[in-house]
Amino acid sequence: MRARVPGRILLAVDGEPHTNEAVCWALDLALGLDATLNAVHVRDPYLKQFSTEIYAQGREEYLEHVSQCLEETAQMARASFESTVKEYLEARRDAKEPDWTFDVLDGDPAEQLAAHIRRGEYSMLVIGRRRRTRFAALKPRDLAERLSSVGSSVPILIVPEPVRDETPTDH
Amino acid sequence: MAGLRSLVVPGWTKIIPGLVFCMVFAWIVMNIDHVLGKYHKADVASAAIPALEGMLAEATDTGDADTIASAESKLAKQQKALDTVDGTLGDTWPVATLLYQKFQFKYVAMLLIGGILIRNIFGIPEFLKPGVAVARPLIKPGIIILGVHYVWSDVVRVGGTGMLLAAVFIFGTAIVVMWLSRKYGVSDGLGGIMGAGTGVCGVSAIIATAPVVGAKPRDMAYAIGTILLFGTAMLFIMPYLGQWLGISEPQFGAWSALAILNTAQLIAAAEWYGEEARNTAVLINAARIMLIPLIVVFAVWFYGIKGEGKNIGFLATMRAKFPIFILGFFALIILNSAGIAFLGGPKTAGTPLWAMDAVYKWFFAIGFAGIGLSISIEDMKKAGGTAFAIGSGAATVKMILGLIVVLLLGTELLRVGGG
Repeated sequence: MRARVPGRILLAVDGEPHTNEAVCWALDLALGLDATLNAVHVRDPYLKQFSTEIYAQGREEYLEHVSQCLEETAQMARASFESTVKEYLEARRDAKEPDWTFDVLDGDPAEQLAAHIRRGEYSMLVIGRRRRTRFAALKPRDLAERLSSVGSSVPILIVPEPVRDETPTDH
Repeated sequence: MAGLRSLVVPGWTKIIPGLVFCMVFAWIVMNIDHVLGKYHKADVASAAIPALEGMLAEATDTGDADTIASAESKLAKQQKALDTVDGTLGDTWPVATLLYQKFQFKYVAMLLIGGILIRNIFGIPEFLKPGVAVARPLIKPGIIILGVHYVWSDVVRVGGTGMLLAAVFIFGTAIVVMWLSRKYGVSDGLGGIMGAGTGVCGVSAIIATAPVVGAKPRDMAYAIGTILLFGTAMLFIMPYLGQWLGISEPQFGAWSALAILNTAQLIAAAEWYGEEARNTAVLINAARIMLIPLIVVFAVWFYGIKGEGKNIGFLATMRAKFPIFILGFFALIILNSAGIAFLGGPKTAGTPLWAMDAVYKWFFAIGFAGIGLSISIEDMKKAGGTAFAIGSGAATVKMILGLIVVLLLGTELLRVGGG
């Protein structure tokens, strides 16, 4: 029977402010359950496919720009994650820092995260979710929804972005 | 050997499966188009022959030689169309006429709609994707070859008018979009790519401008999604709208070149509408894409962008962003205009220019297969945020203003004579 207590928690981060709430929840769980936290950022090369647009000029420059942006976003995601961990631990002086790692992957985020989960190395996924406007509700499923529909074999905790001016969740 | 190796594209083997897939898809569709067109012509001929025979009999009675010659020539043509399908007088093929004429279900529509359905229902396997991506730019050799359809008088009249219109529309759109974006606090990166994208030629302009204005990935995804959404919507709406409004082919060509946000979709819409529409659209679009580097220079000036390691001076930008291939298009116009006997012309069978013209449609067909197979509904769903508001506003205004302008200009000024 599969262990129900998370031994390794997978946390998806993108460096955006709405992810911070998910980081805090993942830290809560890692500390409470004595689990290892593996934060992952996926560099999505989606934009590169458009370099073959028929009249595209300066393709190389465009590809370099996209690569540079993805690299910067990955660095920002790591910095944001580390900063949130630091702030979290400073706020809880008695808490011991959980074991954590940070990895950067390349590919479609949903596919990469699903593949990670399928390998059976994790017992839980924590992911943040941006607040959606009414217009966005008409749009495609976001990453959290896509992941929950790929037939994940582990529980997924989807942490919504806090509503502005709302008191932050007390973890 | 080293010289030969340098001609080979790295990773060319990955391209082959997808490219072959597009070629086979294009070949099948071109054959369906050919058969459908043949039966449609036979259907029209079957209905027209009795009337022509009546006209011939009447002219024979009155002894009107001109009418007799004209009726005989038309009758021979219609009889040939009927003979091609082994038809006899009275046979009808209403389905072919309904699809080919009423619904305009020609090779462009079949490739685009078929491609979209394949992509979005069955998906494209990973091993085919590199080749499908390479198929799209194959429209470029087709455009170069189309140069044989023009002479310099066309370039001066239609191209000159087109250049003037394109310049007004491009800079008008870019200035308004960038100014409004700045006024309402939109980032320079997003304002810059949306100004260029909605002004010039959609995704191609976004690719040229994004590195210069430092657009962020999310903004680029929103902008590209928005451009593809409106470009694709216009591709399917405008030909039917044009037919409904009864505008001529040259007018439609100019309208699509001014109004459709993305280049691939504008060429497809014009080719779909008819040969004259395509000739006008390609010429005006040639004028339009030559303005890509100027719009990048404008964005650099408008946003006061400093180099910081990037070479964004006027000459460097012109060199980096100018669409070199368009020179091939103009080279063929020069050759066609020069009247060199052994080169012949696109309508002189067996000559080099005729041979070139015979293959252009294949480049277009493979390119359209690539375009159809690349149109992903998921990509278009990425349209959103401020980019969507800007794109929808610019698309609507350009469509209405473009229509008014081409209606005011009339057909003749926009018609390509081709010598």
